[in-house]
Amino acid sequence: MMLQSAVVAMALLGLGMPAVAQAACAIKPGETLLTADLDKGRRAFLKCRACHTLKEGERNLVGPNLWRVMSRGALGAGGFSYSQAFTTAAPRWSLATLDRFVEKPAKMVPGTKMVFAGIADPQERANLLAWLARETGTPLPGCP
Amino acid sequence: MANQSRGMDRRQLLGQLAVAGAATLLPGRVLAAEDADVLIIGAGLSGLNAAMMLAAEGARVVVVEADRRPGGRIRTLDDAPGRPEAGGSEIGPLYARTRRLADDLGLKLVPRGGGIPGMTLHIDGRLVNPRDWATDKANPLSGPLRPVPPFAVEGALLAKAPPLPDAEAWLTPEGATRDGPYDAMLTALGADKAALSFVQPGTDQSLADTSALWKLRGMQIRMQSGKGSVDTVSGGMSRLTDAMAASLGDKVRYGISIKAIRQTPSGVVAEDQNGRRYQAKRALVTVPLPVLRKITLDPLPPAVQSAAWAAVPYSQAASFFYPVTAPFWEQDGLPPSLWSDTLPFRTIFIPGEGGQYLWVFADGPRAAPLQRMADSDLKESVMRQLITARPSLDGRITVGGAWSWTANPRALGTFASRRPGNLAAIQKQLQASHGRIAFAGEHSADLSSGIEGALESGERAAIELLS
Repeated sequence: MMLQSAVVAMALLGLGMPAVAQAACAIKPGETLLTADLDKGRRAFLKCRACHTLKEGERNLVGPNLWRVMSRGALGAGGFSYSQAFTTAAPRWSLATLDRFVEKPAKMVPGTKMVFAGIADPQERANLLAWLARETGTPLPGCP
Repeated sequence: MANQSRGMDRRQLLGQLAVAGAATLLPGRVLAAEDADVLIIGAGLSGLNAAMMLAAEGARVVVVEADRRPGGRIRTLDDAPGRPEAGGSEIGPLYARTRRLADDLGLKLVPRGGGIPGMTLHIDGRLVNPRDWATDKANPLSGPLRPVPPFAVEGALLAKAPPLPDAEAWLTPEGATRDGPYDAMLTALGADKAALSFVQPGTDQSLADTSALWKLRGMQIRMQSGKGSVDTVSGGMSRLTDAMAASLGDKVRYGISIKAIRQTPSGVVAEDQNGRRYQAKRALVTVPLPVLRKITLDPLPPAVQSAAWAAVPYSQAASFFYPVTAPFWEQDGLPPSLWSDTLPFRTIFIPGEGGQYLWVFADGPRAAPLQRMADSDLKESVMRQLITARPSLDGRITVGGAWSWTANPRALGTFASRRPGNLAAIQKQLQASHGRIAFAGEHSADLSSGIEGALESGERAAIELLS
């Protein structure tokens, strides 16, 4: 814990991200093969955590619980009241469709109630999705 | 103080002398031996949210707050009858961060309770039921707006505007094509001079100097929320910021008003009103822009950045609260809230958890004398004006609390608005760091407003500081 704090403090000085045990893997959400950094993915999820829980059986917040999101239909969170826009426009989730969705949710699902501008950087999305897949019970092939 | 031992007094006095002496004799010395990663200025929603996020990631944070309590523009008047809210009080259906925080901190949300819809009209000194407005002799409206009560004219006009497609549209080049003077947009939507006279900008700016795009943004946020429940925190909004500050323990320090921030090659040194200094690797400034403009920065920010800080107008307002002791509306058979063309304020009936009260909201240039001081004389005088306008109030309301954000030196206004033009460019500057100083606050939110906007901005700044 103390070690982690010290490492984070270094990151704040502009020395880069914490050098904790690297969890990385190669994934291909779109046309390009990218090396996903799962620890950076955890950080990227700070943008998402206000709306989404991750673990099996956790409550829906303003957004749905994401357990096994990578292998479920777009309306897969039990008990969550999806918007009309989502029920008509959202696809079955996969690494590729989630990558496009997270890039700009309102572009793929116009009228979604998800108030999130999106993540423009493909590398940050890759980090996020590799980490998210693991945390929600369906790790990507070749990823920890 | 009188009950404390003499020894304690002497020790305190010696301590203060030592501080004062050091401050005058050794100006270069850093007195407060802080060595934080981030010094956060302002313990409002944005500063506290950023502090909680940064601390959870292992960063050492210190939050300094000028007031003696946390909350910023969240303020439940706990000592006033009815326990009214002087600041932010509405938690919209899509306020994700607010709702999660409240839940995580073990707080309960309750419906805010809009009360009885509609407002009684007070026109030329007469009380008019809004139902009878369409045929009233003083109604200057024509065409489809004729039956619309004055308080609903702005909403009726805005409803005819094509909504922005999504929450971020106001920051895009397509969004910018919708900007311009607000009065011009309302005129294009069918407003004549009479209709425009019923639209109050809230700020000291005229409608012509108010951004149409900013108003469309507000409408988009409201529409996206749909018809879900608008809630508030049980026990008062201040319980939320109290709990956030409590979770940070002694990382939050009170009574510290930062007057200057100097950047060095290795960090920042902030100086408070007593010359005490606070050192950190970085600073995050979350105070409202009128307060930020009074802080001396060395080096100065780029001209384009300070120009953006100066370009954002703030709404000016004072609030007066009158507990309701009997249902006065049953006496005159009119809606409890009141819209007046002569009184310089609106009067809104609030059925709060702590009791029913009338909220007198004095905003805009007409109410300037009320905004500068919300003292007891004014409370009496506003109540007399209310009772003269609406006799059924006589003996059925009492004097309660009062609050002015305009007069409050830690706020100097209620919330940020925009003048027409360059909204995306200004937004970029409001979020930009200046060297080791990052910025947040309600005024810099992208996709949400009010309470949620403040939390969003703190989150954005925390993530920036971590990367």
